Amino acid sequence: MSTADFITGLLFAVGGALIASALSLVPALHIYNIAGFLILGTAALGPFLPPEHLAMLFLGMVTSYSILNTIPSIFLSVPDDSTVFVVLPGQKYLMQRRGYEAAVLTGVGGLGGVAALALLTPIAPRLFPALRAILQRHIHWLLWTVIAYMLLSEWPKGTDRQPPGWRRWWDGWKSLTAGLVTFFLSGLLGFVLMYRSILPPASAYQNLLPAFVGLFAVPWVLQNLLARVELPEQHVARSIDITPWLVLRGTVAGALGGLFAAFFPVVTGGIGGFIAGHATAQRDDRLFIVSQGVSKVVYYVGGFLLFFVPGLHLTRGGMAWMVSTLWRPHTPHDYYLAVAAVVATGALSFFLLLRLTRLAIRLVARVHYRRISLATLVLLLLIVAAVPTAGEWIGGGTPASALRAGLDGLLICGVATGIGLIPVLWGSRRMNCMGVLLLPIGLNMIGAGATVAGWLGLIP
Amino acid sequence: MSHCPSCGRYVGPYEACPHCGASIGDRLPIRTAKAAAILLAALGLAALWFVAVRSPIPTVQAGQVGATMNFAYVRIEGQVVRGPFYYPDSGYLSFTLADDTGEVRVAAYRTTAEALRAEGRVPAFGDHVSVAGTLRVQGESTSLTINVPEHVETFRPEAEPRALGSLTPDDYLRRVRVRGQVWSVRQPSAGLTLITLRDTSGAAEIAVPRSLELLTGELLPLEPGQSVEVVGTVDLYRDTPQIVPASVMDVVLLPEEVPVAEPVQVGMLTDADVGRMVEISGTVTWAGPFSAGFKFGLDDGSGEVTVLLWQDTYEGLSDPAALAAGAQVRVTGEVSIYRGKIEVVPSRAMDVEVLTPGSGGTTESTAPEVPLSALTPDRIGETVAVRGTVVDTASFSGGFKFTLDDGAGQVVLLLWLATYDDLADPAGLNLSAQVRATGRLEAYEGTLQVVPASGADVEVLAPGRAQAPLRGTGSLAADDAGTRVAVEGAITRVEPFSGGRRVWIDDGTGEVLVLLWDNVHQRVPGRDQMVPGAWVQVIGIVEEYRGTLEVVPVLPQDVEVR
Repeated sequence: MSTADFITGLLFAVGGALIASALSLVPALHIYNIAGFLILGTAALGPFLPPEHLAMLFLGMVTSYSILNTIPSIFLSVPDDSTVFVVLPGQKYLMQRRGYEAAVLTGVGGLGGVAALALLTPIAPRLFPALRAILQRHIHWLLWTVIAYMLLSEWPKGTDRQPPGWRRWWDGWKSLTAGLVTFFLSGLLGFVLMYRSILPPASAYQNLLPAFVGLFAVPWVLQNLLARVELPEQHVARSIDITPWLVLRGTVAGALGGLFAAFFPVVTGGIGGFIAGHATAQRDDRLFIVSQGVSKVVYYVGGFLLFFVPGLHLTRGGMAWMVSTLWRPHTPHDYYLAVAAVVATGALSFFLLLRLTRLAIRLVARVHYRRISLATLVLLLLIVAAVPTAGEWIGGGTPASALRAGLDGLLICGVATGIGLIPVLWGSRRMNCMGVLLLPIGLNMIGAGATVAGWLGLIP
Repeated sequence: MSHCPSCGRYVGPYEACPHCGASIGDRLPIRTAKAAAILLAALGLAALWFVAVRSPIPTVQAGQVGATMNFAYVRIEGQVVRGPFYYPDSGYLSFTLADDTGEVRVAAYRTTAEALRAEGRVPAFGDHVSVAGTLRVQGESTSLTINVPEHVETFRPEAEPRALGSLTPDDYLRRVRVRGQVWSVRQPSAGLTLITLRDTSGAAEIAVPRSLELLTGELLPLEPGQSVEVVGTVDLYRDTPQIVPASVMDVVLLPEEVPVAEPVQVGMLTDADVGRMVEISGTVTWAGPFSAGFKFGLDDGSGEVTVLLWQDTYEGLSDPAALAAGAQVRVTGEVSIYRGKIEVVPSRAMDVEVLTPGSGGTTESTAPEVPLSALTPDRIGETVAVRGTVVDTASFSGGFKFTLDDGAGQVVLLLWLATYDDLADPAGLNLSAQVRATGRLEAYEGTLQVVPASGADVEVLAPGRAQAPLRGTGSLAADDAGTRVAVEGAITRVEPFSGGRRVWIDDGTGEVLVLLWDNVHQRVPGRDQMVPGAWVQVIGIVEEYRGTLEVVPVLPQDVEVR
């Protein structure tokens, strides 16, 4: 790899980071959707960029997004599946006029995540192939252990104000029941989408997009609309309430969770962060926010970096799956370039975070929270309808079939929204919505997926 | 409302909670939202399920698959053009499906692969398959993962009966039924068994990949000469048709023999028959070894043809000695042409059937004894008898040469190793021996040589012996190169090399190397006793090789182990 190639690759990554920084402010717009539209554009128009440059562009985008998506998560309460945990402590900070500080704490965590990934570089080509060789035959039961832990670690949340008997029992168990129902229903939805998706094949690469938007984003937006929360004026602090020791602890915990999620199939950053948080007994909000910042960077970026690791080339996460359809890295140089790009764009994104958080504070001060939420909802529904419509259209469908594909996307999103509202309204964990992936894939891994799909009438 | 309905704290007359910011009035009851959420989830899921189960799995063509179809659950229809490949350790099964627009690799893992195998749903090479699964697009490679064994539907066309020689590359992927005789069975690699089948029209290979045996059972042990019927699909290996059965059960032994060649008359053979398998019968007119095997002439009354047996074929004969002039023989072999002359080349020993043994050395009584001075190149090909004294000996990898001299002329008596081994008295055949021999007169690099067919054609009338002055092992010098000397001494060390043995001997005056070429070493009487410490006497030519002097005996009898 020549110096010119190296610099060109870095420039594309920086370009991707700048694009993502602008888009990250748009609530609920996931970077995978943008990458998906670029893939769609490639399919429709032919390659407009050499695939190796597109990969670097995507790497810059995902690095920047993983740090900057904190802003809408905290100020607009619109998380994705890996930032759900940031929202609650973030909201707390927001209501205490400390939204800026929360964003910076997450950003510090993001920098810690980038540092952890850079430190792993020398050992990654030996560590991860060996890990995969060891774990490959155990993935199925490990995944079910994760599921079991996720479901069993939720405790009854009663108020103890109900009279003894069934009513008191239900008071304690209703959130647990709601969590199980959420997991079960989202799992059923996952089965339908994986075995008999009503979306056209040409948009299959974003098959789960309507479901994820419905499960995670729309319920938050609806909650924002219904709650009519008035945001207090935010204070832009010149220092943050954290010590280096807490940053280190948060980084270690977050990196553990993020790496677990990045390496392990199906497990997302939220689940990884949750397990790592429990494993390292975090009780401090600051520590928690930092660790979540680390976790989501390591999950998003580390997952994509695994695709570049020599001798591994593991496809984890939406970005890697999308890039793998067009290109595969071949040399160790690709990996070192990717790490360099992550470090450069990670640092750049942190500084962008500081600036863009101030911008977001000004925005929420001037534009009413409900209006932003409403606009977000419209944007979400447009994306949900546009992806399958465009896929069908580019795949050679008729206008009618393209329109139907869009409506199908909205139908899936609507159903997912109903499921996603259950934990919001009953106060259970939103992470249970990950049943959409965990249940069908977990059952597939133990060879029971087809049987269950048969029971559900999904196999003709 | 004095308390905030959102956080429960006292708010007094405020319209918004001063603690959590929630509005106090104009609120939607949570119960309503809960009911709406449950309804949306349950009814929506039911509606989605209703629509999904009534939607057919979309069928796509291989060439249509693009990056945006990654993870699509689709059906692809086509014909299996590679595989199936099965790896029991990892439980991985794959095959490649092709339609008019391209190819897709289809894969199944562990439980799905096992279910496909157990239910006999694994498609075979050439099968028409309709399979549904999840598409994976990775760069240039497209694959489809089977999740549901029931989503694999296979259609196997009827096989058409064909003669082996009629198969051409145009029959690629055609399902055929052939009958033939097992000609050979070999394993070019651990993962493949190739069975060559022949019938009267020609030959073709049956390819049985290891994966096929893992999926359908062990192939029955086949021996050359057995007749079988095979049903399979025509594949191509470098444009040569091969038949790949769908199961090992499609290779069936036949009770009756399938002929591999039709009887022909020798006189009818022409250049046009080259490559054809024929059966000929007749009388052996002459026979003799050559550097790579054995040749004999076969005359059936309509003409004569040379039959060539390669060394391995010749060594496989149950009674090679019977293959002599006068023998009645039936041969099945392939017609070939060498230097403009037609030859029949059997490739298996079982294809040479000696009906009546030849007398061996019968040429002795019929061949005229000619003076050596009368041997001229225009007599090449004749069988002649010669007599003379051995005046020189030589050794080469395929045999030994003895120069005969009758006072008026000289000729080389060439004995191939097989002939030399057949001699009644090899010890007497050495320098100064009186010899009578009968053989075909041939020429090699301008030198005439008489080549007996067997050891019986060589008669040692008076034994000879190599003689040379005895020298001390340490006395040899560069000036001795090219002279014949005798040395004796104790063996100090023995080393094998690619062409034979190096033996160092020492009589107390110094060490000298004795080089024994393999043709000599293998025939030295008592060679097993040639170990360090043993005493040997050697007569040989002194040669210098890379500055080292070595004594090279010409004949096995020139080495005596005590």
